[in-house]
Amino acid sequence: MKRLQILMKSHLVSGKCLLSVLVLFVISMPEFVNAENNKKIPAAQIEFFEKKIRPVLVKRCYACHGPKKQEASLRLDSHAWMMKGSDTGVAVVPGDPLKSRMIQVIQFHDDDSQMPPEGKMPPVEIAALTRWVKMGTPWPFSEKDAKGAPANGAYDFETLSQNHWSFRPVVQPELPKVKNQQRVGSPVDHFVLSRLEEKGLSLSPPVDRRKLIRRASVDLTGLPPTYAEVEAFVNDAAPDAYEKLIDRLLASPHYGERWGRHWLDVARYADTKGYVFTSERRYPYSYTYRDYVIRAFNEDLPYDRFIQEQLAADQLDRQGDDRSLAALGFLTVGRRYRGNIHDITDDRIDLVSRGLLGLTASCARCHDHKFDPVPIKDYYALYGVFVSSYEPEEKDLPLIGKSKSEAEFKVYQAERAKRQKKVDDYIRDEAQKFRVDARLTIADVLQAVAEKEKLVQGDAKPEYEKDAPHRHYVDQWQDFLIRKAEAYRPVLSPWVALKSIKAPPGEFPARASEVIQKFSLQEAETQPEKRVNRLVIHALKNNPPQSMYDVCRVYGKVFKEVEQEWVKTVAEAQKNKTAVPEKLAEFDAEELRQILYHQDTPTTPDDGLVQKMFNRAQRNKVRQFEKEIETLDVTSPGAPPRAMVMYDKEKPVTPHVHLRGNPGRRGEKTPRQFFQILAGPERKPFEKGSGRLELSQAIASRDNPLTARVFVNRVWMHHFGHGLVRTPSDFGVRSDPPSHPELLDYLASRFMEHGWSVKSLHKLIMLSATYQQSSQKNEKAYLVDSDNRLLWKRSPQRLGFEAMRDSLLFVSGQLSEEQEGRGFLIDQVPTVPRRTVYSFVDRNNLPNVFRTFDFANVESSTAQRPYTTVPQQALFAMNSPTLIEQSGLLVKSLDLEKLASEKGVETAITALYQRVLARKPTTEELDLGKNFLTHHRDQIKTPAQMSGWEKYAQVLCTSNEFMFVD
Amino acid sequence: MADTNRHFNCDPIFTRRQMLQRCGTGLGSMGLASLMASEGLLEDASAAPAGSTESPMAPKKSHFPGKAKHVIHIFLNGGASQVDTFDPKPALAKYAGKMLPTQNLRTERKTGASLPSPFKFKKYGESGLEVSELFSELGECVDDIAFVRSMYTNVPNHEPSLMMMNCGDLIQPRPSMGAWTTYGLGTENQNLPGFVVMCPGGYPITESANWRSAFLPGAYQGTHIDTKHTDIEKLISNIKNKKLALPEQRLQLDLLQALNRRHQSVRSEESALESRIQSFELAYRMQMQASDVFDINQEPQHIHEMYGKGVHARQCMIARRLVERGVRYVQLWHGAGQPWDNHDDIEKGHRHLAGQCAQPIAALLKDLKQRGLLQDTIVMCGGEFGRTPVVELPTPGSNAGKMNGRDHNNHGFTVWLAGGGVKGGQAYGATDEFGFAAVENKVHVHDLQATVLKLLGFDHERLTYRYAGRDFRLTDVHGRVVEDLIA
Repeated sequence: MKRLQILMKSHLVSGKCLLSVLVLFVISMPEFVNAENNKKIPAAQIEFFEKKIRPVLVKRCYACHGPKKQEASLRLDSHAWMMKGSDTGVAVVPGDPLKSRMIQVIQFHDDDSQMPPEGKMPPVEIAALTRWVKMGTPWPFSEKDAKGAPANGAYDFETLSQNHWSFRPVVQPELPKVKNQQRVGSPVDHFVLSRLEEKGLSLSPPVDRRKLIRRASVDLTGLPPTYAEVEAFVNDAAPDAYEKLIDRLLASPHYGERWGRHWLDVARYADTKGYVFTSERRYPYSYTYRDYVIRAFNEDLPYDRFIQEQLAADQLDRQGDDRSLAALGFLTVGRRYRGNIHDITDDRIDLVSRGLLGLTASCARCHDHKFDPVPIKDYYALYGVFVSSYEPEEKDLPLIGKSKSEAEFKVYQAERAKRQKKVDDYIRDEAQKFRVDARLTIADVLQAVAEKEKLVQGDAKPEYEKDAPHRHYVDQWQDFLIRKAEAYRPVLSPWVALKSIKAPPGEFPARASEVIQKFSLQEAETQPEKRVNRLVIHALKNNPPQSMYDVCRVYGKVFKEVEQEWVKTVAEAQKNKTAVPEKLAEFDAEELRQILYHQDTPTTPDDGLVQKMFNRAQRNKVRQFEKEIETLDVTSPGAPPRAMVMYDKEKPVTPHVHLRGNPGRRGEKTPRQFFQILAGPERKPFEKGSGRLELSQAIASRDNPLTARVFVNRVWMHHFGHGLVRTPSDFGVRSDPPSHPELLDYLASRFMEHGWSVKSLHKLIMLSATYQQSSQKNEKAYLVDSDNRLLWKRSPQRLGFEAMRDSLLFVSGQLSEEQEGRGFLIDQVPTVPRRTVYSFVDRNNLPNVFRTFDFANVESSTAQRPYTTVPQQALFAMNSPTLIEQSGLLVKSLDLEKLASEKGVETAITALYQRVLARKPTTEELDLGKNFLTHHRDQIKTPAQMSGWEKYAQVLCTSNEFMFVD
Repeated sequence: MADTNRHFNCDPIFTRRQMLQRCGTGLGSMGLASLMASEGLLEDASAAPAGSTESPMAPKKSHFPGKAKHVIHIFLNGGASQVDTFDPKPALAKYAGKMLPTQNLRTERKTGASLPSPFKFKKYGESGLEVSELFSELGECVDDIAFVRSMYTNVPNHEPSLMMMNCGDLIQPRPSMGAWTTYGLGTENQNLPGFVVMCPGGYPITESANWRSAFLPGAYQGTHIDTKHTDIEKLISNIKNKKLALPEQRLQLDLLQALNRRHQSVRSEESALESRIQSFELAYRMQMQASDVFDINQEPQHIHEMYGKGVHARQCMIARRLVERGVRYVQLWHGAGQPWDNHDDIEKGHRHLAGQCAQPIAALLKDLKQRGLLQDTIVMCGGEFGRTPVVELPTPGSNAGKMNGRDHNNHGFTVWLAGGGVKGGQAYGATDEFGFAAVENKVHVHDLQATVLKLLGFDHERLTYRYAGRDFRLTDVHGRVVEDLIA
């Protein structure tokens, strides 16, 4: 196969760095489009194409079948695309114009599609195109042709998996040689230093120990160190003091709260379903997933196992501990798209492909991925995995723990039973009412049947006694009347005969009268095949019908009278306390009563069936009652934790491709299997159930080139502010290539070698001199690499929202140690002093404070949050009740007023500095503080609402020193 | 940021130079320049990093010079009836109470016979365009208005249609038009939010999803204001310090900035520090400007009389004040929930609703015009869809027994545009004889959005954001600019 090399520009957009990196990759193309092949096309044909064909295609076709639009998936701006055909099949058969769809439709036949839609082309153009197809569609290569392959699954997987950096197998590289050996703290530094040295640069000097402990503490736990911890570390001369520090921080339960939150961003975690109209919007058990994630990080659960649990914990050996079932919340805590399964599944495919693999597969929902090797069939292969799984109802979710208190659990159980009974009772009562009504309103449903079957010509309309019967109920009667015509012949034969009358509307009464007359003669018959029900035929005789509607009403009346008589009989028996009779005395009446009460007739539907026929008001009522149950699950302190699991369906689904993403347009079938580009040529369809377990194993595999690379890059990113790859969820052909590809591979292979231990990975990174360097001004380095991609410094990092709020609570002495459990509301005062990771995340109406501080997008997987600086953030610092409240609490917890009066202002200021900034103030800072406090005392005439100390504390808590970590 | 893209820059806020340039432009900021000088904040100008550290909201250039700079979107949520407002259909009267000769199109619920509009239409202006008595106040403005009578959308349900009208997609969480606009253009006044959403009484259906930023940075999300309140503190969170008066807070801020400058002096090359320092100055000024802009008591009596009374008058007045001060995008909702959703009692319902907003909307147009603001402000008004020209049949358990309302209608409805380069005095496109479906020069919501973006200076196919491996845009893969709407 010949290959065409295509140059693609990958845009690097970081800062003002306008480097365009040219990524070379190779895609297979049909042979004859290769430029070389132009030699094989006779010159006359080339000229013919360029003069007579290309201009026609451009003018007539490209608007809808060109680079911008591809109606019916057809594209005519390169030979390869043209040969791919459209949604409906082959567009052109070279050499055979008659079989070529393209030539057919330009004929503009009345009974066929007509192209182009604006009007028939001039005959000369049609003739040219026909001739060209007959020639065999010679298409000389041109720069004007569409770039990119027609992605009909014809990606060159083999070449891509060898040539694109992220699809190549991970191989541990040799450590590069480094001149400045002294700066090497861990193997990481070999890779960084060697690149720097190539450019004549080096690392910045090591950061001082005060800054180092703060950096390490905030990075690993999201909290600053205390003054005492800083002092101890600064004065610890042991050579392994720093390593011990890392170990201590990694062992802290606050580690999982920090790094679990990073993962929750990837998992697009939130506690609500998105917009809902009437049902409960909150997930009752989403918090169990959040708690699982935090625990997994704290326990250093191997990352491969972590992935497997999140995709298939239900199918793993859990060794008697079901808590890991909560891991499946990864799949199930997403937006609910108001119940649309295709969108819910799309969200899951995006989560798994981008979140775990850095592959942007959701593009392939509608068409083959235009850049990455993800054919639409691969998308639907995964789709099949997820639609072969189901989520049990909330009440059936597995328990994974107990309520905190047994007493509260009992209260919850009793209340739940009570609320459940309310739903059940309502449905039962409504169903009973329905059945009672049904027996009295046979006329209505028969009229509806007559209307549906169009048994009445002319202007006559049904006259319903009640609302028009439910469509579903009408269907049942229609079916019953046909199916049981023989079984209930004596009653139904007049109906059958009358409805069969084929006559103009005016003649119906006369013809009906004849039919009725005929039946009347049989009234006395006792032979079963001839007998007619006396009550029916009498009623028809006495009320000559003008239309079938009248027939319906007569039947209805007869049934109604029988029912009324039966009700009366039963009531009397009950009143007289005699036995309720088993049937009506009169034979013909009893025959009718049988139809009303026999279990196979439509008048005796069970409760479930009636519920399906509920009207809007009834459905709303049920929903309202069910919501009361859901609300209890969401709010009751006694509700025990459950896992938001998925299970495999009994019969897995082999999906079809949805053409253009439209579920109504089915394309090819595709087995449930993994991505071709990652599974390789040996790919086999999944065999076990939905295939979720096999999927999880394929992702969490040492042979998967993406999984480890993507994860180590994200860990690096959280330590340095930027990843080695700056598109942390896109490692495809349009991604940002790694600044240090070998370092990325080294980290990935070491990570897997060390049992996918995340904590080991932190140590590997943090022990490096690269991590421990300072941020020093360096003109030369700035000129060479203003963007710091070579890592010649480590810039100060601003605290993210959680770290900011948690640090504030920490220094004010308020931070609660409480872990796990339902989320608290973040925007309430007094502040709930729990760590921010435990706050309730409302997906649809995200509290302002989250958004103001660049919280992750809760709609889909987010590896890196946006970074903005907006005045609303400053307004929060200056004015929010939270800041004012915590500043007050901080002053109170140090008792600064008293300290100042007893031991002097300087002592108090020092205490404040030690608490907030974990250091002593300088002389100048003392002066600034004293001046401010004095000024406050002297100048503020109106009664002060905030004390000088409170205002001062607020300043320190909102200062850049507090907000940035060196 | 999640994934890189071309338009939005990772690094925050202005350079000092830009900051000063901006200070020279507005009255409000002049004070700051002197303030900063007096505090010695300008001494070490060399410390400001070179390069592109911009606020996400800093004004940005569009693809080509746009005719409009601002948008005010008045949302008649619930779906106003076109045949009762801006699309007269006398033919309905011929069939009053009878089925139309054409088949009723499928909508959300069952519909029946023709329901002629109970409202009288009248011709106005030089253009002679007809408007119903409900919006007679708009009569004086018709020569500035383009009524797009051939709007259509995909489905007859509120939620997806709201999403389509605001975010260009029925289901997927995509950024709203206001978010795209501020992403593309930034805003002119850094002391106010760039995208303000007003809704009295709470949220409309689908809530804040209507003005979300989705995958765009949170800075582009609309700032929601419940105009039921008049108290500034309830309108914008944290806009006032409840315990400190401004001069006292200034002293506190001076200390903060002094400490921040000391901190910065040994980290001079870090632009992020400078950005945060400046954001406090912006915030400080925002407190004054925001309080000022929402204080309609400053408006003279004749302006109050022009707009009338009530929350809609207040909203419209505030909208003008916002636009006047450079706010990029303002959205006004009629009210919480879906007020215009008159499945029954439409005569009473629509009369009541129009009574609340017609005068204020007309006043807004006239007021913008007399101040010269209308020429670069697009005013757009309409619902998420229209209503059927035929009566909605009673459904068991809902509008029980009543047969005097209209169902949702996605097949045809009217949205009108005025100002901002819109060619006024025209009715563009048409529905069929009865106003059921758009038939002539049909305009899909995507087309409307493409057109508004064009007026703002954007090629809707090029205003993109790279996310999850794809370049997203407001109009997805659709949209066609309706050139005839552009003057």
